[in-house]
Parts: sequence; C-alpha cells; structure tokens
Amino acid sequence: MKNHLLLGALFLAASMTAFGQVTTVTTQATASVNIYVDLTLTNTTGLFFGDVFPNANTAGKVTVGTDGTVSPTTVTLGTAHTGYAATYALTGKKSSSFSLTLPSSTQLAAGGLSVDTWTAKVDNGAVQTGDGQQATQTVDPSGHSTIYLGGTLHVPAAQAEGNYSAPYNVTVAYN
Amino acid sequence: MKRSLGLLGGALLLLPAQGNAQSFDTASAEVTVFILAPVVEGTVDDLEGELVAGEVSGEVVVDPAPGQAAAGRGPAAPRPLRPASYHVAGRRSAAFALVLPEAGECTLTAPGASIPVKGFKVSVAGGPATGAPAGLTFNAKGMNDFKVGATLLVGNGLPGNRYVGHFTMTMAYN
Repeated sequence: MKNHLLLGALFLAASMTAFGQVTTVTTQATASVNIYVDLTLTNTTGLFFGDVFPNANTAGKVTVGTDGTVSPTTVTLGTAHTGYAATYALTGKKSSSFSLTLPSSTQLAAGGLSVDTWTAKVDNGAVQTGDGQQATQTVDPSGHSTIYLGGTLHVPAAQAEGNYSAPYNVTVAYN
Repeated sequence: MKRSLGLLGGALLLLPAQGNAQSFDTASAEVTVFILAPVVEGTVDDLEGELVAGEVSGEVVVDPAPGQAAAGRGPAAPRPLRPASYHVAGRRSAAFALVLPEAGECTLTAPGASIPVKGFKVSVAGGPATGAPAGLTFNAKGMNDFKVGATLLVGNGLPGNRYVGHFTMTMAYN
C-alpha cells in the first residue's frame, strides 16, 4: 500500500511537469548594435612645396612624398623654406573601414602651375595614389589615425615669382 | 513568439548600417609654393687694365668704390686697372649673400710668370668698399649693381704680356 501511494505521488508530479512544459515556452534571440562614432577629419598642416626656382627654358616639377621627402626635377629648390607633406587627424570607430577620396588636379595659377598625382598614406599603411581616387582604408585600433598627403607640383618654364596657394579637399566616409 | 523576437533582432542590426552611410567628413586645406626668381648674375665689365713693368715689386690696389683709381706700385699706365662691374637680378626686395674669393683663389698667369691676387672687395650700389659684404638686398625692381676690386701682387721684372686669371663669386638668397 505504501508503495502504491508513492507511485501515485510520482505520477502526479510527472503530470504537473508535463503540463508546465506545454504552457511556458522560453526562447532566446540576440539583440545587438554597433555604435559608431562620427568620422571626423581635421587638417593639421597644408601641403607645402617650399622655395622653388623655376628653370628658364624647361618645365619642371617638384614631388612631395607622404613621408615628406621633396624631390625636384628640372627645377632648383631653395633652402630658406623646405616643403613638407600635408597631415590630417582622423577619428572614427576603432578599426573600422572607411573610404578616402583624394583631391582632383588643382591649379595654382594659369599657365600650368598645378598639383596632381596626389598620394596619401594612413598611418603606416600602403600609399594610395590617384587624382580624385577613392580607396578603402582602416582606422587605427585606437580610433585615431594620421593621414599624410603628398603630390606633384608642375612648374612651367620661367614661372613668374610669387607665393601661390590653392584650396583642395580630402573626404573620408565610412564604408 | 520566437519569430517575432527574431525580427526585432534584425531591426536593431539595421540601424547602424544606416548610420554608416551618412557619416563622412571633408577637410579643406591649402597647397602652397613659393616661386622664386633665380639670381641672375651678369658681368658688365671684367677687372682689367694695364700696368707698367718695373724693377720693384709691390701691390696694386684696385678699389671698387666710385671715384677710386688703381693705386700702388709704379707709374700710371695709359689704361689703368678698373674693378669688375656686375648687374644682378633676383626676387624683389629679397636679401642675398655675396661671397668673395679668398686670397689664393685667383692668380693671373702668362707664359713663365704670374701675378697673385688677394684682398677682394666689393662696392654695392656705389657704397664703400668692403671685404665682408652684409645686408645686401635686391631693390624694389629686383635689381642691384656692384663692383669688385682686388689687390694684385706684382713682382719685379715681370715680362710684358697679357696676364689672365679667373675668380668666382657666389650669390645666394638668405
């Protein structure tokens, strides 16, 4: 008898458990969000070609590399002002992918004094080259990157003396 | 119920993707170059003239300052030594440096004989002669003029001949 009572209790417990599984369903899904900070680009220094003496008879050029090297061809560099690459401070989501668009050919004066063959390097990455070119780059894992920008200045023969400047734009956007 | 939760998760995942496409920035900057007019150095007249040969050696000073004749050893020749004259051009109002030859850098020679030259001095734009020119500038039109003289060490008994030598001066923007 005692055994029968025990069996009955076990049956009742089993019935209650089965009933609970039918009326309560637990399931899981994943909610996630990627928080992006604004992508900001700030120019720190402009591109500077320094002092240049044009050739009287032949057009020449000056190339400033992303590493700041200044290389003249058929022109002579002065020593009072040395050229340097432009630099930009970039902030964005850590290690995120973004596109970098280089400037188009930029004219400083009529007659051919212009800059083209723009080059850029993000931190220690590969050099990106091309006027108006867009390429994929990556924000540093710290969320802060430095962009170095160079280019080639074309100097017509016997270019008139003067200080020449022209604006240009660099654009970045998340991919 | 499970299907509804799945849709909610998908909706949350879409939000950052929309944020990506709108997040960009453009930075404007300037590219600059200083184009300089090259320094053009044109010699108008060479340092030249005549000396009368003599028995006594000595120095002949060719003073570049205006109104100064060659002075020193011996009687005056029909065509006295005169300083070299230069007309130079460069960037308007720009400062420049002029480096004169050192003693020993120039010797006038003829077959079998020579005349050393030392003590180069310059007179800029009609100013006093100096061996250490400073504060030189191109004028508002990018021009300047100067004359260069020197001291000739003339030995005794030099044979009559034409003695020729060359000297180099260097100009550069400061």
